[in-house]
Amino acid sequence: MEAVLKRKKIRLLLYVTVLSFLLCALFIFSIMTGSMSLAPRQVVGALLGMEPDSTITSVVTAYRVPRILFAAFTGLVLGVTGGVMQTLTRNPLADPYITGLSSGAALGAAVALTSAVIPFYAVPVFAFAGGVALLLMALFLAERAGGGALNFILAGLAMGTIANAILIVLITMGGEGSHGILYWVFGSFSATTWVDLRTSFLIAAPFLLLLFLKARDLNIMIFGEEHARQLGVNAKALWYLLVVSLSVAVSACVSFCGTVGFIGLVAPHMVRLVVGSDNRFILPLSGLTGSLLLMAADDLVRNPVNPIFEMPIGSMTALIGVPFFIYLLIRRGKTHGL
Amino acid sequence: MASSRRPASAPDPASAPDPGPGAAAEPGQGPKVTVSLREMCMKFRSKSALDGLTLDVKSGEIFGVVGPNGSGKTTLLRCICRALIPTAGSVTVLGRDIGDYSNKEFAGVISALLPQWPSGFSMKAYEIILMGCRNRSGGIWWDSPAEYHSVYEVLNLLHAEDLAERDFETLSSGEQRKVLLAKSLVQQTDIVLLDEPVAFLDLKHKLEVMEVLKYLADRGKTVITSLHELDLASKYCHNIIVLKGGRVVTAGKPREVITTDLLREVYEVEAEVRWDDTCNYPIIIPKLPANGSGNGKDGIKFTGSSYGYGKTSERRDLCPNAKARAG
Repeated sequence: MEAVLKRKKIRLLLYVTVLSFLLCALFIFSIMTGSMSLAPRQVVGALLGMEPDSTITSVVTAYRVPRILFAAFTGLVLGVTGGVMQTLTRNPLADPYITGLSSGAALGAAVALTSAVIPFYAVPVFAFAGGVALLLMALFLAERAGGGALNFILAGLAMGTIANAILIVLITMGGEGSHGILYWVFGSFSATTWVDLRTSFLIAAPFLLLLFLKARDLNIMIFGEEHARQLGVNAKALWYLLVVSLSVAVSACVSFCGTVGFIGLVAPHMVRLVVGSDNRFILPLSGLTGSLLLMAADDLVRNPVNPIFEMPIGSMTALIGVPFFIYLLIRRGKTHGL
Repeated sequence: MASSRRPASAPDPASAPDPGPGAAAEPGQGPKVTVSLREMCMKFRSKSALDGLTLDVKSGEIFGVVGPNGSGKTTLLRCICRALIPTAGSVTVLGRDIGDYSNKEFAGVISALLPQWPSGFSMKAYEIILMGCRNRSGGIWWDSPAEYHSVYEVLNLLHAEDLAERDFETLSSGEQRKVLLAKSLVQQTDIVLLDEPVAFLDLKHKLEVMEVLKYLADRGKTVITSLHELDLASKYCHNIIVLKGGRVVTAGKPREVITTDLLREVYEVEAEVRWDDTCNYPIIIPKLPANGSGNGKDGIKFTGSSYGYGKTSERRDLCPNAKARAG
């Protein structure tokens, strides 16, 4: 049995190494693409501060690098939290938005965008507050209904539906702000700055670390709260800790870039289909996969042919994620004879 | 059986690596009361599921809980392992009220095998058994080699090494049961609760699991198990309690308890109980449902037409002999 442990460690190390390598390669490639194509030599030069052309240096460091890093970090957060949420709710269809968080964030952003007095730079604050407020309401409602994962999902659904309804009213009444709201809802990394990146990283990183520290106990939650309690886990406290942590981490990212869908659902499953459901594999690998997916989607969105038109990032994640997901599903069906 | 095939010097997986203070009773010391219930009641809304249960279970004994479906067996076990909170009365474990334990302490004292539904997520059997080590694990990320070792030992005890690397979701329900049993054994507690541990198992595996329970009891553990198999309960349990409708009908040594009268009263089955004296094994020969069941007449009956059989509302006796016998 000790050999099994050793094999697991080596496997995880191998997967992490391969994905990290891909991530670095994709990072360089992402900097190269865009309205102005750059050569690898220029990219490396600009990153190291040795590029003679100052325009290229500023395009790379002030515009492309923060945007790409933000996409990568958001992908990481969505991938990790998606895996946690699927285990916590014991629901393979769950994603980090299941608390109604995305609808709350969108509503918060919409309020800020349609209001005449709220400045544009305050939109993330409203989005963050909206997301967290809806989470708290869903938690309160679920607790009143007797607690448990199912009540939580239903409460999140109810709160999300209400927020969506108000959002639609705001869009139809919104006039000028409507387009901004829609743009925000589907997500975009186009306006990302270093400040955005730093802010969301500082908020999200500690909570993300917390999720990683609880990966072992998360495994035990697969059979539900009561089972976990019998094995010595303070299941209820853990449950709240994890749900709140992951929601804060997600809110910190999506408040800046909009509710990017699908990564949180599909990244953990891609990993699951290959390595099983041990959260010590899911968390790191799903995070890296989420990063890769979102960076790739953002590359495709930054259309070099027509830089004025940018596709919403949410549609792009679905367009590239779903076919791959379907492929993995079919492959799994064949190997398991299902 | 399970224990005889093991080398005598093999470490006891259920108390390895080192039975600390408060571990199973040392040989020489008499058995002590480990679990005791006083006037315990459990109500679901207004419906009473358990009504005033008082009992003591000693270390080194297999304590069987039997009774028909819905008699409160599972509720009793769930109350002892804190999955349910009794509405009245007290449950004391190792001299302490169960409410006074922290989750972590309690997990070191009682392990429970309760019905569990597959999660829908694929995990290897050994990964699930490793969960049982949670209480004494030190690592942040990985389980320690010692924990892997104890998983292997328990699987060895259950003759289930071949299940280790299988995907839990693809196992048969009997095999899943064995894996979950292994998970509760790996917890290394003094008290083991099992809810129908042999359900879904074939005869050989039933006996194997019961031998494992005997092995645990012989080493001073307290084993409380609900069972539907009265013959196995009689052979292996030191004491049994018979529940019906949330009340104790009778309790005591199996040989005194399992009688023709009991089967008629509690299970509403007319049966003959013969005891095989060489191996203390009862042979229960069911005859027919006793008087008083069904329509107040003898035998099982059904109305032909309501099931789509037969043209008229003609009633058929499934057991035409019943009338003759009863008459």
